Amino acid sequence: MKQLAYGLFILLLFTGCIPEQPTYIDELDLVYTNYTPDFNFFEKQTYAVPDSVVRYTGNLGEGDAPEMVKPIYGDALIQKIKDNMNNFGWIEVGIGEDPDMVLLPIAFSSTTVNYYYPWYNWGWYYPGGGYGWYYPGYYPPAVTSYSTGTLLVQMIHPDGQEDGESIPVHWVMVIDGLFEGSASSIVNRIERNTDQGFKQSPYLNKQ
Amino acid sequence: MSTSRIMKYVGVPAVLALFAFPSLAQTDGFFMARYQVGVPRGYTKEYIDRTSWRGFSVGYRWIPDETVTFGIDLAWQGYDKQNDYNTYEVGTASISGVQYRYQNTFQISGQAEYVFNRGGDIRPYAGLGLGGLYIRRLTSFGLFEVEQNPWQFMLRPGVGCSFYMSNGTAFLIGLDYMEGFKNAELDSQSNLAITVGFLFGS
Repeated sequence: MKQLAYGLFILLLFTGCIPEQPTYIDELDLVYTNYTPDFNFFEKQTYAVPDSVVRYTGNLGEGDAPEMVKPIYGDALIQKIKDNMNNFGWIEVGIGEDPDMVLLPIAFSSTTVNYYYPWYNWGWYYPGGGYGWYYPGYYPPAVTSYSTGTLLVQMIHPDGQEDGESIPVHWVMVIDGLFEGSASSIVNRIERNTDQGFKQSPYLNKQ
Repeated sequence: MSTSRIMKYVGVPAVLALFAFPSLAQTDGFFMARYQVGVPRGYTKEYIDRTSWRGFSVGYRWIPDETVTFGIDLAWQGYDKQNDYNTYEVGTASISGVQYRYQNTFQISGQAEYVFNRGGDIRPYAGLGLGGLYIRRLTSFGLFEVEQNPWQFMLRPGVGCSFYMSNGTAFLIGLDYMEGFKNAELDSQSNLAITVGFLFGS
């Protein structure tokens, strides 16, 4: 009887010793959005977005052509951005057609990078521009580095910007997670998380 | 964690054990080992409202007279909870994801108990502990983590009963309430522990 009691006690000690932990990779996904509170998105009508997503490599010099994300992933992100913007009542135009807003998507795969990405590296898509970025009326994501697999989309309003000035970013979306799994599952996560980024940004909806 | 912080909170039970009762070394005593289920209360419950099945405590008691015991306890309780996918808003920012919350509490306390029916096979007791509570709180959100590791002073009243079997061994059941004191780093943490275990000694 005593042995049974001791055995039961030891069993209890080890019962439930493993705490809750993420089971699936998508449970590590995070979608962050932020915006300039006094910027009137409703008055703006048109937007432009590049056909490719830049892959940040950290060693790009001025005038160098940037590396691009594989089309299977980049296309999924671009298409979802367009779908959501169009559903919100925006009109897509070419970059040369004086868009009200420009969306700039970029992907990071390093573990310790800052999201600072020189404006001149966007010269392949939108020449001119300024020296860097700033976020009027709000703070950018509260972290200074991202982990493996981060997509960053910044929305700017290029009107009235002088060369050499910092560019105000009026909306930012960060999708963070582990860039692992089959191609189709990664594409699904990109699409789902991009939808979520727009869903939690109702101020962009002009409908 | 700094040595000074440890001494600040661990010092109370240590002083109680080493200086307040210098003659205890010559007295009889017993060792205790207990499994405990933690029910979060107060601000702990606000953070994790789930019962913890992960906990244990060990302790030693000196018996200077027939009805009173003094000693020291070390206890651990681990809480965890998964918050389903949700969107949290902070100012103009919105963040969506699955959140995991973990809280491990480590307690060290000087204890004093009054024992009823000394010498009998069934001995109820009621007591009070005073000591330090070390909290390791980890909030995991996606790939990001926020960690807090504060110390708090704590009170630990408890009641229970020992059922003596043979050779100085007894089965123990009890209820211990732990109440930490709020400080600048964290609101007061508290939980109710339901304990079962054994004591070995005289």
